[in-house]
Amino acid sequence: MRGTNSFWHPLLHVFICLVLSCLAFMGSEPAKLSILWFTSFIYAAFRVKAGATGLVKTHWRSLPLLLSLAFVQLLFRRQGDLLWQFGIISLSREGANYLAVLSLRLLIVILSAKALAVLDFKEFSTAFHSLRLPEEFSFMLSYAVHLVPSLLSSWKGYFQSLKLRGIAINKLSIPNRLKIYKVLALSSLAALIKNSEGQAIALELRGFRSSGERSSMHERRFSFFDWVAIFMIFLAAALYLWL
Amino acid sequence: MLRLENLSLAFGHRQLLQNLSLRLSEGELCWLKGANGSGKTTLLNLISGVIPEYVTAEFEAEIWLGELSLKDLPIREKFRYLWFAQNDPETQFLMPSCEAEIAFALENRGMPAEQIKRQVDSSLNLLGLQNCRWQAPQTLSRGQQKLLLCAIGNALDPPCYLLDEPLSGLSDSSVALVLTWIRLQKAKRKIFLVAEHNDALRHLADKELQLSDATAFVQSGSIHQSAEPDSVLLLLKAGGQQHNLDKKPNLLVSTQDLGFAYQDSTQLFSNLSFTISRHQNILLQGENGSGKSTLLKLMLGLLKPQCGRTAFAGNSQSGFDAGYFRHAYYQPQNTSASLLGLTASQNWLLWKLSLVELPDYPSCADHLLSELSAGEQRLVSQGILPYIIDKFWMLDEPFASLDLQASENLKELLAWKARQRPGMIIVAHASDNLEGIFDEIWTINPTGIEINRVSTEAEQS
Repeated sequence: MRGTNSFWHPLLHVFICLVLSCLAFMGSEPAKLSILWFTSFIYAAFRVKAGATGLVKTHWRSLPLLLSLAFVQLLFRRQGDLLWQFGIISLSREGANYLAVLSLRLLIVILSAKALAVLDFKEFSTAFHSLRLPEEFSFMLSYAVHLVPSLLSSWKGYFQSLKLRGIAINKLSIPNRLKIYKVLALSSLAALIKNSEGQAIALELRGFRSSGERSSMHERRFSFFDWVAIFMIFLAAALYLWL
Repeated sequence: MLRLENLSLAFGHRQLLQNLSLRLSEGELCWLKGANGSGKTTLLNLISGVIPEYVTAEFEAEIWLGELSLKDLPIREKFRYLWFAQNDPETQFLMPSCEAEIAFALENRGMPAEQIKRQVDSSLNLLGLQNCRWQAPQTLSRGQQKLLLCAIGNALDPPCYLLDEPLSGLSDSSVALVLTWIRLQKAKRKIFLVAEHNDALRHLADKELQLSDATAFVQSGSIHQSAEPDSVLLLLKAGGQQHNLDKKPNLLVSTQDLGFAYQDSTQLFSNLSFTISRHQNILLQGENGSGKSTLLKLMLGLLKPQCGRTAFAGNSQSGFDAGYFRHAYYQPQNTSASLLGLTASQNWLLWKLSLVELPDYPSCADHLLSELSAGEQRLVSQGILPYIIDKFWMLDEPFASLDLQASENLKELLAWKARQRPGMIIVAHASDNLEGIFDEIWTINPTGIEINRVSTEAEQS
């Protein structure tokens, strides 16, 4: 059937992302988390349009956050064997361990969120309809999942508009830069509210949340393969926790 | 019958509509006319229920469709009785394909799957969108998005239609499609209330409702929205900031063997090669979805071609640099993308960072951009044009949503620039009546770009 993203039921994808994120917080060994990170990477690479290259870029963009985490660990965590020291800065075994665990958890959650963001409103609706959850839930989750990507894209748009006016932000003075950031931050917040309102109006004009029974043009039910996949995921998750 | 009785509406102290009454029988179309900001969209918002559910305003109104009071009905239930196609299609699509977009309303009605399929098929065919069935609505051109809104309305088949500028940004053949669709629906005794600037609606209108333009925030003759040649001359005499620019590159755009297609869509361009010099005045035409906006974006480097090369202002397009726009200005079709900030003055302030000689924005003309109508927003975005008259303009559908006066002003400005400060490429449709302004008319068709050189008035004399 054309018009849908995947052979698998959308609920299965929601389930996979949920399991990956949960397991990331259930394990605390760097080796096990590395396996989970690798699994998440492979899964997300198949799901996102930009593929593995796009995910490598995502990791690169997350680097400042990871480095700042590392810095905090270097400064404040002193338990365990001392691996390296320079003045007041020291790196303990536990600090390094904790850093690896935190970074891997963060990356797994980012990868799961990226894979989840591939699903559109229609797919969320199909997924939660099969669980008899209300439509509002699909809209809210779909909106929440796409919130960060849409904010990033609106910022990209703003900087593009500045360039179209011949303004190179990195060549401006600090006060002018701050002036721009202040204006754009408020604008993006206002645009976010306006867009969500616009989408809600558009949906309601077409009967979203209306009374009466809904129908579906392409009814999607859980197939045999979806059930097999669910079983395999449960098995893999149990194995991961047991090992 | 649609009955509006004693309708009055105000936003705070701004009285937009007063004691308005209207009766429309089955099969009748009322053409809502008025300048930008006169309250056409507000009236449609009120009937559809957007006011007061989403937009707060003080109003009094009795709105009846037959024996049903629409005022007491929540928006989410109104889709059984009316379809409101809003002006800005940008935020109205959430589904992954045009098929899903049309089917959504029918699914909410609980229509059987087979019937939905039939309705979707006939609507796509009727509005000429059969090739876009699996395409994401967000990737359609603005004109095609407008057609899609009509297709949703057709599939929904309610007794009453509210259409906000359905013909804006449409090519002549698409205008004909929409008019044919309206004619068919009228024959089925559907009621239409249409806000539109395009005169093509005249033949279908049974009633005309002229709204007063006295309440408009942004008047098309005010200083910052002035597009009259005299004011441009005055601005230049007052020290046009563009005279001190570096030497301009002679060759502005060059492309070689350009090829491009959107995902899940047919090939738009292949082996396209052309050059544009900085003194050329070009009118870019074509059917909706033929790739006019895409071509501009490819030239600028906003989109990456699948094959071939483009160079802008002498720079091979491997990125998007602010330096390229010292000599050129691009205004996208979507007005909100060319406005920055929350208010008109903030937008102006950000212009002043690159054009320091700009005068201050008059505080009396300042307004929240979100309070302005689509046409008023476009006027604000075009307010900068007289101040960058020396730049090469790349304007995508600059006439969309403008009222007659503002359109005439813009035409005069374009004509003046073409003669005195040549250099522009304008995306517009034949219905915008732009004869005598451009040196060349480029028409995008399935085989490529057809270039027709036009002899200007000066050459003729």
